[in-house]
Amino acid sequence: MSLANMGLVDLIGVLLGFVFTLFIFSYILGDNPLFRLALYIFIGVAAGYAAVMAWYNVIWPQLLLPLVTGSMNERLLLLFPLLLSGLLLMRISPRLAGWGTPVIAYLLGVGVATAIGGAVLGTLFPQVLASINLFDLNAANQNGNNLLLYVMDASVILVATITTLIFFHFGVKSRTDQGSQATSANRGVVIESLAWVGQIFISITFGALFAGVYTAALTALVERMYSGVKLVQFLLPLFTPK
Amino acid sequence: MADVRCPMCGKLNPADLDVCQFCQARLKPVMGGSPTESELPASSQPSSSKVEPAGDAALPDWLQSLRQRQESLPEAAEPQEDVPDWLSNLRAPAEETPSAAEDAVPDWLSGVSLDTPPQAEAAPAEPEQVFFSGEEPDWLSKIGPSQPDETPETLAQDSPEGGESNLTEPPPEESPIQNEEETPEWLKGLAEQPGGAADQSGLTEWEPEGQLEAPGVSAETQDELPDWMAGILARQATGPEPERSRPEIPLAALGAAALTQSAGESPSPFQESQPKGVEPFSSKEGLLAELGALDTGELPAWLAGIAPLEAEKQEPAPQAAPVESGLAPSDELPSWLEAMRPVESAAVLAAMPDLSHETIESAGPLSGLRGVLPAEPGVAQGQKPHVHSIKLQISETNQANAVLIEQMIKTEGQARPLLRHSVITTQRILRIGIAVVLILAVLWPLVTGSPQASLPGFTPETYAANQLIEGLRTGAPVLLAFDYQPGLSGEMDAAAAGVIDHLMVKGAYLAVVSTATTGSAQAERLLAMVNQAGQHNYASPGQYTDLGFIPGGPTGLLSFAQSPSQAMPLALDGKSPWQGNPLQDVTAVKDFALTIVITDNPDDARAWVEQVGPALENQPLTMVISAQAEPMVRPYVESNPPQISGLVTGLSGGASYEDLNGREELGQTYWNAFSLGLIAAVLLILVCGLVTAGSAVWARTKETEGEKKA
Repeated sequence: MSLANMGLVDLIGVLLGFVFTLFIFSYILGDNPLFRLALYIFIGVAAGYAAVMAWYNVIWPQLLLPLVTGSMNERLLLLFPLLLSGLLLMRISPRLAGWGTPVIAYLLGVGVATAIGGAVLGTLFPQVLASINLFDLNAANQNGNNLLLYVMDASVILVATITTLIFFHFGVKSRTDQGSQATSANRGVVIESLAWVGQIFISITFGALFAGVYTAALTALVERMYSGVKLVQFLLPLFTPK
Repeated sequence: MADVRCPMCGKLNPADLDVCQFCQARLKPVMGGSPTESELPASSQPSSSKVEPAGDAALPDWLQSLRQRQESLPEAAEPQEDVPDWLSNLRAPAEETPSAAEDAVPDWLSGVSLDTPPQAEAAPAEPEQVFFSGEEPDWLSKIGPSQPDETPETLAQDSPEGGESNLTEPPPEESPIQNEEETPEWLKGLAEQPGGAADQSGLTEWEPEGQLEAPGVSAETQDELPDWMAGILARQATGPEPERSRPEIPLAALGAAALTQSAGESPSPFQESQPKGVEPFSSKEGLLAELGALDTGELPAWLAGIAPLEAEKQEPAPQAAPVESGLAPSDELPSWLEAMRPVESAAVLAAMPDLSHETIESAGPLSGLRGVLPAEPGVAQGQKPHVHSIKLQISETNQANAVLIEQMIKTEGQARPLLRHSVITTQRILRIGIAVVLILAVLWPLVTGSPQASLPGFTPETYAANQLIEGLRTGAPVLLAFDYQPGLSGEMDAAAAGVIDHLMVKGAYLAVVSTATTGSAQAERLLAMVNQAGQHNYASPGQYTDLGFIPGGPTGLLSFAQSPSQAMPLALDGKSPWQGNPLQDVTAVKDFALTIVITDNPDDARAWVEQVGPALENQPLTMVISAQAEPMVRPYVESNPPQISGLVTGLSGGASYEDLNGREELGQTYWNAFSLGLIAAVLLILVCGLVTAGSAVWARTKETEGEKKA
């Protein structure tokens, strides 16, 4: 979107965006009030926008409006979430906070059950199956992959998976050294060696995550620089004598 | 008128007197109504020859017999005649001085006294009298001796030939010691005790003297006695009772005992009736204590040496109890006599408990007494409570940890002043330098447009995503989820712009949802930007609809996957998108032709895979993700079978996707600046890494050199 086609409101938005970008960039010089001002404004705007979205997108169209215009069945069904919502609001008062505990328990129970069910059926079983299928040579042939490279790739993934799991194995046997009362809790030599290999894979993973974070931040910097350049290129002719 | 003998002091008083003119004792007992002489019976009328006070019938037997005997005997000389010689010798005149008594000491006793110090031998008589008077009970002193001239000390100081001769060689026919058969039992008991002879000297005439002399009562006197009294006398005349035994006492000891009694002791007539436990001189300890007092100078040493031996011989005190009971049963005494009886004597008659096993009080006003009640019976004798240590039984390691935690807590509670760093520091300069380098590296391509970096090649998953979109028919419902935060909109917009442009090119109907509250705003902004950049004519609700925010996180996603129309009944504009085309046929999430999730959070990507993926069945799931989420999402792409069919990752994925489509969007616009900034970042990492490593090596080298120098 070119700035020339923007309206006044959008242009003001671009200007405010540029100013707040400079405020955020001021953190290069250290913590300062401009950075904090921009931070507080962003947090406030995000919270306000979330509240507006909750009202206009959830509470009114999905709870209150059906209670007014919906059928009797819809109204009866909506009494339950309405009651739970009312009880949840009582947590504002410390004296009546206990009334909201069952609602919290209900939400936590439903949320945990959903998460566990999704993790088992959506992540754990499929990933275990994928790890097993890594050595499906028939599938590799059908896909036209090089079997040697395919097996090596599968082997690395298998070793990385096992050694990473071993790294998080903290079960040790308590041993008392002779001649001293100190108790050592070191893992066995085999486990310790495999854990050391797993630590290497974990380090590589963290490196990849850091690279992703860095590239994401660099992309955001490029976008901000590009926005600033465009604004300057738009404003510069206005202040340049013809 | 005949005189009346005082029952207390034994002296004669005129018959018209009511009280004794000597001792002020009542001569006529107080009876109920105080009958006059006329009212009294004839038998009770006082006669010239005998004195019978009123109430004679109430007198005990022993007293009656005594009076009867007094009637039959001459008043003045009769007692001395009936008393044996050895006893009469004991009743010496009271006028004799103690010095006379010393002169009467026998040879064998004087031989003993030679061993004593002169001071003891010359002990004055006055302390002995004082001692005797102190030993005399009160009741006896009130009554007074029947004959003041027959005090024990006078008896002990009797005639020159008395004393020893009477004690050691009494007349054969009258000596109660040798003639055991004729000696009454009570006299045996008295004779067995060292002071027995002396005791009798202290008896008054009203005391059972007649009973003492019962064996020697003449026949005519026995005829005057009543039958019951005669029976008693007959039993006494038959000899001692079988259970009473007479201990063998040396005559020397007996004589010494008599002397000892006469010297300072005057036991009461009721002494024999006292229980053993409370008898003052019946026990060895009491006698030793008494002798200890005497040994201080009140008695000669020779007498003090003999006294313990006598005390040991004085053990069988209980044998005298029957004698006392026969002498004066307290329950048969007349009231006037009972009133004059000492309380102490009645008190000692009561059975005293055996206190030998009791503890002796060691402190307080009751110190020295045995068997007293404890001051605090329940508390003082309570068991001492166990002492529990308040020190925790912990090891040294635990103690060290506790100390460490305590120090940490103290440190947390202490306010530490903020360290004021200088405005210009090495770290701050380095940070500013890195920022300047990166900004310049990014700005340079954006301003100048050069250098031109080659576009990245597409990956299989990017290509798969492109093919999935490419296969969409016009107007096919596509679910497009905007689940990224505004802070990463620069990357996500660049990555998703090519995909959205492709969707618009294909003419898919976009149903926009979001699990983030800001997702709808992000979607509106990106759709408008791509619509303008791609010169599309996409507008809501004809080409797309914004269903809005899905509340509840994973639970809301699961609900939306099962029934999108119930989870999101209304669009953001307040209208129901499920009534008209093309969403009227959508009853579940699998009815969408394609599901595309644009997210920067791997957790959101996983939630979509876990909750919505199973509901999609065979429908593809494609994602446009941030570069930072790729390591976490890629396993779902590379799994077999894949859970994510197509994947566009970050700016590189967006640029490659645009390259696939042959359209230039934000991805390619940003790519040059991104590439140069990436190169600058790599160079900074390398340079800073080398500097850090070099500084570490240099510091270690300096340390090594310092150690070598040291």
